[in-house]
Amino acid sequence: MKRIVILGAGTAGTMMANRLARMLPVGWDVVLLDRDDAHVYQPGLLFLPFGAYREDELVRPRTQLVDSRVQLRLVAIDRVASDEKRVVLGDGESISYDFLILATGSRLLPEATPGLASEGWRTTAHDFYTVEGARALRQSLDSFHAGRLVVNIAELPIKCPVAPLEFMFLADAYFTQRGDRDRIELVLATPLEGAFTKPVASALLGGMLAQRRIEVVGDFAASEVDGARKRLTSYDGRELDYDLLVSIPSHGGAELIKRSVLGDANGWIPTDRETLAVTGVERTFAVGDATDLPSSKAGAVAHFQGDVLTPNLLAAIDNRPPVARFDGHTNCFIETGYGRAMLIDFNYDTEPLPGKFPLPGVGPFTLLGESAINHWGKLAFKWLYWNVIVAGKELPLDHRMLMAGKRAA
Amino acid sequence: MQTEQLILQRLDTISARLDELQRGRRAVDELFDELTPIAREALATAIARLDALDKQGHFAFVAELVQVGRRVVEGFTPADVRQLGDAIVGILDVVRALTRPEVLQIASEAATAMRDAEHATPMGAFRALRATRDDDVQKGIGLFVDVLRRVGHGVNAAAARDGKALDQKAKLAELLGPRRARMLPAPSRAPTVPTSSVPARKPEERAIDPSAWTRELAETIARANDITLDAPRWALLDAARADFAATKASPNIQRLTSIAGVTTRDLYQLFPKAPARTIAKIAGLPKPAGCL
Repeated sequence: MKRIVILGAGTAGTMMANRLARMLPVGWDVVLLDRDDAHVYQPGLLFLPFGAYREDELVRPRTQLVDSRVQLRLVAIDRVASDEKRVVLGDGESISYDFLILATGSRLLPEATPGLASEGWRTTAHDFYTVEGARALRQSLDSFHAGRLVVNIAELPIKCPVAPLEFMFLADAYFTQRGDRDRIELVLATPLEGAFTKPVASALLGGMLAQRRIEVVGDFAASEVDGARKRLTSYDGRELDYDLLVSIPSHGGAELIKRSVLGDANGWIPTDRETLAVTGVERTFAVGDATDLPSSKAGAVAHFQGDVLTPNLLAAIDNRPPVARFDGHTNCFIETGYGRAMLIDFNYDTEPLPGKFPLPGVGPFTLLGESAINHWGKLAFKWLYWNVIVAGKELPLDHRMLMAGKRAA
Repeated sequence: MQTEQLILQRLDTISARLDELQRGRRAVDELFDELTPIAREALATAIARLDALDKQGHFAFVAELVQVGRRVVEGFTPADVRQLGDAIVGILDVVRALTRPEVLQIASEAATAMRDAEHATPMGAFRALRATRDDDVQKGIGLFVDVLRRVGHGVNAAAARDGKALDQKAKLAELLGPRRARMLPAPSRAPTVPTSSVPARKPEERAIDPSAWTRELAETIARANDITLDAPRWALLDAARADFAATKASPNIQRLTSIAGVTTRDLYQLFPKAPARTIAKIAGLPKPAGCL
């Protein structure tokens, strides 16, 4: 029996396992490895602090999500011995592979910002990128009625780069509807120049933050947190005092990637930006958050990458060159509060542009503009996620970004 | 014995039901799988057709029509519309008369003359009189007088209907409005939100021509940013340029620490203000950006 081993049963890994289980010729096994049985619907975590979802709606057992032909094993992985084409498990057992897919994702590294995860952690300083974090933040938001709330992106890259902005919009709506918005200051501290860095988006959306009285502090690279004094300091000496800190901590690749000497200094796997093959390592591909690609770390991206990786892997099995090319396509809903959302659609070469998606003129989704339909789309995405994306089904959409329906800048 | 039998029978029934459910679920799954390639074709076709319409301007046109519709609705009351409805037959009769080929021909000739107005020969009274010898001119005068007669008749008939006794001059003045009013500019339109505005690029977003970059240029830009380029700084610039060449993306702070083997603190020591952006600027690269 020939074997494809997939490391990581998150969005990308589960999706690939399910697709390959259906498409591989006879004589091939698919082995999927992960250390635990809890698959989290991460886009839902944004809503947890505002009480909009329950935890049990967001987590499902991995065992329920895989095709019966996939051999899912819940085990700790030690490392990859790529020269010997085998994966070494935590208990020392080895699993050899003919092809390897690294879907090990990204992890949060709050300890990379000194002081963040010590005094005040999960009481006055929070993250909402984990279930425990979102849960603790919910408690704090419930009892936060006055003062300065700072949302800080410690460093880039992060998962779901628009989530900090979404959090600001939802917080503004939440406090306004609760009646104490006037006693609360909302500040976004970002290492980027501003909230919007692309010309078209900046021009169209620039007023959104001022309108909602959200202050943006740009070029702010967080160097440390003083949890006792509730002060955030940047590398260039600026200090930002807060009453409540919502941090999006530094991100890095999985530890096992570092142990396997497969990633760069931050654990990201050097990947060909078009074919998704891992640079310099035979018969190995990477997909999802785990890569070092400049494309966004988001579920939709993993889906479009899957549309490329599947045919490329099947071609590699037949000793043929890669057939599909990933164009960096990303498609993201951005919640803006009050029952509305925006949609952005872009790739490596094209910034988010206004227009209609997917049907030109008709939509129904509006690009770079707020609408209620977009908001319903964001909510409906949860069904799509469990039943189509993670299930490895195909969407009737080209994986590449299309200019159709967009107004060029 | 009997209880066992009953239990076994029950189990059989349950098993059969489960098989049914299983078949049903599989049917739905298969339907979904069957439909996906069809849906993909249909969607691709729809997108292509709508894209063609979009590029021809249909959707922009409809969007403007909606604006026009809005203005009509705002500009006219239901009473106006009712009046329009009452008069519609008469209006359509006029339109029908106007669009008869002969009438359109006349209008076209008149329009041509007016279009070429600047080439019209200026005429004094004698020349004008001599021009009336021309057959076409005579016909035109006859037609003009006919039109005047009918207009006058219409005005008199309307005045009689209203029961008002109006002086000829006053009647005409009422129709045309006072001289000053006739000089007024067209009613101002409310400023419309541009539906296809092209936002202007901010000055600093001038496209950088990568081939125009030289090391001397880098020195100049660095000086303008209060930076003196020494070996460790050049190492960072070279690393950033190499990375951009490979990934087509300018490196952010985290990426710089990785490719150049330095810490964030080192970066800030060498380039104290927004290091990733400054390095990109000096190295002739686009500034590192987020997705939005």
